Amino acid sequence: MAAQIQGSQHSQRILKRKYPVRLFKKDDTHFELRRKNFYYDLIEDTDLRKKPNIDLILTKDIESYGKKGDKISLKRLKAYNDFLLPGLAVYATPENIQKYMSIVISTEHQHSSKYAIELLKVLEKCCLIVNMNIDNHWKLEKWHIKVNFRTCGIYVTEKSITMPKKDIIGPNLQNEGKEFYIKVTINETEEVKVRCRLHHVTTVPEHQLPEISEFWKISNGALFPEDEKVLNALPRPKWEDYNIEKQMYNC
Amino acid sequence: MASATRIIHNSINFIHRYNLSTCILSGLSQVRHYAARKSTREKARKKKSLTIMKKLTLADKIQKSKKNKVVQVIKPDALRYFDESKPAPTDDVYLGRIFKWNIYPFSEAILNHREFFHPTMYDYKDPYVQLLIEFNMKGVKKTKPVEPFKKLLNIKHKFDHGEERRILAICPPEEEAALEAAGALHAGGTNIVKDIMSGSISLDNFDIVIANVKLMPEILTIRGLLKKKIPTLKAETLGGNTLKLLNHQLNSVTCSVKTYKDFPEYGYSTVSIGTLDMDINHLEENMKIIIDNLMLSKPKRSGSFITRIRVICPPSNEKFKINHNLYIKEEKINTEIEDEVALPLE
Repeated sequence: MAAQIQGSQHSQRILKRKYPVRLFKKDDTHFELRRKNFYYDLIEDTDLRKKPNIDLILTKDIESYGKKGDKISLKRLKAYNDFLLPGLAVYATPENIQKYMSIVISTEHQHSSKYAIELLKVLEKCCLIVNMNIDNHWKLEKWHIKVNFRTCGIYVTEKSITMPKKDIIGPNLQNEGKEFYIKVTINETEEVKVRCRLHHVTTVPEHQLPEISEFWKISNGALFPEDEKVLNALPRPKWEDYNIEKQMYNC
Repeated sequence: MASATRIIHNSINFIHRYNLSTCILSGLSQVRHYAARKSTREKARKKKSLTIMKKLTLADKIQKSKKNKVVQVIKPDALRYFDESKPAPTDDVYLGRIFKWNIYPFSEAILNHREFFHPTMYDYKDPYVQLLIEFNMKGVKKTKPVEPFKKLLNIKHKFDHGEERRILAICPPEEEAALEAAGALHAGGTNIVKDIMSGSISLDNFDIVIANVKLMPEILTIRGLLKKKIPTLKAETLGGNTLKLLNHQLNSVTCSVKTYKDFPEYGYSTVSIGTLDMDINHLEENMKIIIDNLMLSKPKRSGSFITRIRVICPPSNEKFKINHNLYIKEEKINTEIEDEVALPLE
């Protein structure tokens, strides 16, 4: 029958007899087991069991994981190789917690949700293409940006968007490919600046702009000259770095 | 010794090669040239004839060329986009790929599509609103799934579906004018049957033939010419009220349920329920009727038939999932054996 040894759980195998042993007969002292009584079914191998994460306390600021004194839980290999060996973190034992108590309490900048970290990473580096009509008059509003986000697979409410101070009115082909930024707040706590780029669009094939390959990679400067400082400080998308490297190699 | 044996070996080889055995060494070696058995020669002849007769058709050639290439297996949407194991969104801003799909109310799905086609954005007039329906095609038996089928579905609120349907109506002479006014390409009585027999009217110019029951004996005479276009009760092309039949054939929507080649238990279809500028309640009523009509072809087994519905609007890529269980009526499973209820003793 299934039995579990107490204590160490290192490389245990829990078995079960395939054919049960017969019962004792009357006046039987002992009997020999038959050959088929030694067939077993494997129920569980403890080596294959999913191992729990390790709790750590960070001793330095690390991007996208947390700041100094944060308590995080990671997979075992990741924790050993990237955090414990280089000395970026220590085990979250009761003694260590007491030791680093002063740091742990002083930092209170936890994210609003555990998914916010990945979202911030995406939003910081993204460049939203805002598709607007080429023929009809328009004024850029919040729901325009909501729809453009939705087509990319990011779901935003109108409350969380703050628009630029000046109005943006079109259609104006001089503004094609020009940049501005908006602010998105996640759960009313984290605020991110998102780079946006205007693009004119139609469904009438005669009115379409001449086709440019990979138009989304070309920026024509800032829409408002006072925003240039902020836009230059924002991190650029990954493909733009790659594009610059490619040009350098070609030279 | 070795040299002597080699000489003998060579000489025997030479004799066999030039077939000199009979003349020189008739007594030493036995070589017999009997005819092969009857059956073996016939088999060989048949094989030869078969290889010559089999000429490769175009389809065979294509298959042969495909054999060497890697054929991509198209997986059904139900297996590719399986979101039920993912967590539900909790934040007000979130990435779609991490979480479950949002389930929209029907009105919100339509309003979202209207935003995309707003004059300040893409400015596209009257795209069709369609339902992307996924089916569970398991049959009553495990080995026999439901075969793909095609249906004409009635709708309550009409719209221009954009298909051209040329209809020939065979009816009593009183109804001719009314039918042609309603939209039939050609209508007539017994004289049409004669024209088809003589060949002055060719059936290639018509897609559908509808007929009144009264004229059925005359139609049966041209059964061989009509072939698949023969009016039947099942296809709703034969009946007492010809005007009703015509309206059904003209205004109803086609729905063809297809299955995947490698996965016959998964089906899908797209049905249009109206244009985007129609009233939302009208669109919803059309959808209800279509779902009710499709549920009639469900096999008699437990479990769901329709598994998922998404609202789409073809030029845009957005798909909005809706709760289809709201529109499916609860079915009564036939329980023949009823449990006996114990009555209290008096």
